[in-house]
Amino acid sequence: MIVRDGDVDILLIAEGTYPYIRGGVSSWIHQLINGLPHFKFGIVFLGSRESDYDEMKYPLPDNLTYLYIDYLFKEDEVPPAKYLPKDKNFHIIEELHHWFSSDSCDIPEHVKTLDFYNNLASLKTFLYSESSWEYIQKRYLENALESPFIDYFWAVRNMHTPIWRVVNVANHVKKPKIIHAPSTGYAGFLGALISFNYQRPFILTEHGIYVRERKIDMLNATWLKENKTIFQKRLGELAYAKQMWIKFFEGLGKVTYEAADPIISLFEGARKIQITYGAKAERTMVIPNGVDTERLANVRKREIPKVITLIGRVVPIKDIKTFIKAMKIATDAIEGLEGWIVGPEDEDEKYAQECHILADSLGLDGKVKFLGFQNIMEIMPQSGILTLSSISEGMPLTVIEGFAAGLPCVATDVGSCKDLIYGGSEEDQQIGEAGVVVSIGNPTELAQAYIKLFSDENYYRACQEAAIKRVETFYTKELFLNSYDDLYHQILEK
Amino acid sequence: MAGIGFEIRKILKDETIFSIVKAFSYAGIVSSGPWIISMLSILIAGYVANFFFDNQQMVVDFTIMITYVIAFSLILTSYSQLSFTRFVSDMLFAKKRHKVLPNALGVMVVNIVIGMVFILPWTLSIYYETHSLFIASTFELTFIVLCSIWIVNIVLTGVKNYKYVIFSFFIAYLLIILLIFWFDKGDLESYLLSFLIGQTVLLLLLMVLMFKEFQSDHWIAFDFFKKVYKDLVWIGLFLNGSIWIDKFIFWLNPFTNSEGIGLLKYSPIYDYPIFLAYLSIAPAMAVFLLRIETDFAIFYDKYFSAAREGGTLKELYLYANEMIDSARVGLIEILRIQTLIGFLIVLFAEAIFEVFTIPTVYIPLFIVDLIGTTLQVFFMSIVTILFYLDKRREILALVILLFFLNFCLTLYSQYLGPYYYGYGAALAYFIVSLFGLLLLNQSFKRFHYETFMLI
Repeated sequence: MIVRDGDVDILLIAEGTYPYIRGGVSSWIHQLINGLPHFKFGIVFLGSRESDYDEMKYPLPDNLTYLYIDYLFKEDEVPPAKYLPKDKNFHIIEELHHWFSSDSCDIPEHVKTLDFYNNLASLKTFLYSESSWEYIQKRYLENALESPFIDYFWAVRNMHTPIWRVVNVANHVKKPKIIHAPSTGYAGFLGALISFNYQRPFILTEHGIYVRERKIDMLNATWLKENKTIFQKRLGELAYAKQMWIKFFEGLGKVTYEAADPIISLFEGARKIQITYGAKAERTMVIPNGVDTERLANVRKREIPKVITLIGRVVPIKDIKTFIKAMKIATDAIEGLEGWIVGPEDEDEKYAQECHILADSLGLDGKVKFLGFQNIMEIMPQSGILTLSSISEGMPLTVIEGFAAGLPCVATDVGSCKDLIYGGSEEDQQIGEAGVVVSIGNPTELAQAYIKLFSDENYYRACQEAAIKRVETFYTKELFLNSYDDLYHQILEK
Repeated sequence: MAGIGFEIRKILKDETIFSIVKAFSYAGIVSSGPWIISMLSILIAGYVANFFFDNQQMVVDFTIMITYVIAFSLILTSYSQLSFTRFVSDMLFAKKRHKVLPNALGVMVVNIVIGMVFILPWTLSIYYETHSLFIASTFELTFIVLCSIWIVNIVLTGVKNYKYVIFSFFIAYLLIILLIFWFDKGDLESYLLSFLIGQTVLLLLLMVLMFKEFQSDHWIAFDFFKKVYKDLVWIGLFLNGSIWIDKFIFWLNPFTNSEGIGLLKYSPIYDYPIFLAYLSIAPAMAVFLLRIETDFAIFYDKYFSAAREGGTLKELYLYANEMIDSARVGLIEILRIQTLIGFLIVLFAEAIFEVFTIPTVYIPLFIVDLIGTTLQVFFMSIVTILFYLDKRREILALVILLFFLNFCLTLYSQYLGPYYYGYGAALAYFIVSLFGLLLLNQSFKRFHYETFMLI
């Protein structure tokens, strides 16, 4: 569906984010488009299914001139089921598939060409050809002998069908001057396809490490039956279907890294991980996020509210339960202390339910509050500490927003949290500590950090000062926007 | 976090509950049941009439009328037989049991209305010749009752209470014979009336079970006509048409027919041997249906349960192989049993013909008919298995081919002369059986592929 159909300078590819889902990447996109009004931006939104999204969550900026919406798992538009005999070219697909599941980084030419997906390895061939069926059986018998065939079969189908949706988008989308994807995955793959086939420069800015996040998803996934038998698997070995998904996303990642230049990350740690996942080091660079420090400076206050705020979706990856447990310890020690959880609960309702039950059973009724989605400009001035208990993060924007609003931060040692709180470069470290970094899944450490900050005002003030100084030095919106403005200009001039 | 990881999880949960839909499994009995019953009825009626009547013309009249009533009722209701079977199993699958009864009554009403008009020319011709309003109206009523029986029969195959159904048929035919004794008049009227009463009792008995099994707060509904499976309508028409087309050709050809009553002609040279031949196929048919209903259906169910509920590919291979084996064994058994029975019958042919007081000159034709009917059962069995595999398009092609082959080859056999009578139908069934086997072979080869890939 094409919502806006103007010319495009820079085409951003949003996989399940802007403008329908709020979050770090969406804020980043919104900030980027609004902050660089002299460029015409386009967005390709790749959603899962139409029913998974409500209304748009952001007012569309005027310089967003092109908007293309498509869904990777939509059920219609599948070619009608019809018998297709064996395909004599299928060995090419097999070789390609072999590459996908290997560790080799030399990408076969076929992967890059739209012609391959449109003709040689069409969706019809994948869905209906006897060759495809034989290959699926063969792979199953080689690798997943004991697991439920129907799960395997549908994993294969669900995993691969979106490839042709992406190809379809690549066939039809308006060709921009620059492609810019905020993740690898399907979005990165689409960027790579457009880049390879229409010779357009392709920028990748990875927020989280997509492949690694998918791995975490898979490790936690209970939706793939693991048919463990006593003969079958070593303990700790992943079910084949899970491995398959991981290999798949790794493959998409490799293709994306091959096409993208520069490959940007938000912090130094992420850049190193990108290199281990196959990004060429000379293409990598870091451009951190920035926040509107001037606006947030307005909400700074002298007094210290006894409120610890966690801003994030109520989902397992944010490990809200550890925060709740920590609040039990902290509220026992500090009179009148409250913990606020600010973020939507609809993504994983079961988990949210469990969190409510945990809070109730620990007697935290009235002390831990689930506030849902809120305007941070109203929340920040009522908070004393900003916290994150996540088991995985990229560069969490809320931490630097909190800094700008004068809030020290207590966060787990994930993503760029350590760099943000203790400083990355030597110059940065000179500024001092803007809070405390604790280990993952450790309520006691979290609680001790909260207690320390609230019980020692001098320490709190020192952290606050460091926080403000760090954000104003390294993480302003201006720095962020200028970096991209320069980058776009550089590339366009080439 | 960017990406749609969480949504993928939701989607997979939904998708794996997708339905690997099974075809409907009652087709076998439905397509063969009425046909066997009717052939037996005609034979029993003929035999009974022969036994009691002194007047040979009355035997002929009675048998012809029963034959026509059965043939026309089967042909007239053929459009609804398979498609209504599918409707019933769809309703049962969708847990809409209450919709079955009112729709069955709806189909019956529609069939009665159409049937009354359809049969009218023949009824009038009977009246014109016999000047007996009684005979003509009994003919018309018997026709309507039979049309209804076939529909109720379809509904009851869904219940699988075969014992009750067979018991009902037994009671009905016993009653017919007892009534004939009781009337003790020896005229056509009392025989026709006995037959009508017997069939009406049968209809009522079957309807009692239907009302008991399918309760509903509605009396009548016509949902069925809103979403008819068109291919099943055509399969029904062509299948029943094919079964009767050779007979009608012999009945209508002035060189091979004899005068019956009014428009009702018959063809002694063709009818006697072929209906007798039909008697021989009951055992093979029964054995085959038993095997399909037990071995084949069990592995078929196992396969689809395993496919849906997380069986491994090896299990699926195993069940499918067992299923295909039982189909193969079933088909071979038909030929084996039929060959044995055929030899026995041929050996005692003269004695058998004497029992039925059929002239022994028909024996050569009878042997051809034996081969023809065997091939017919063989073909019907292939069709039954193809129905399980939901090969409706292929079945339709086969029955259309059968219809035209039977039509053309029967005509050609008439052209060639009496020595070739019966060869037309036999050859037609032979050819479609060959095609059927090829299709079956291909379907089994692609069975896994089609189950998973073509949905």
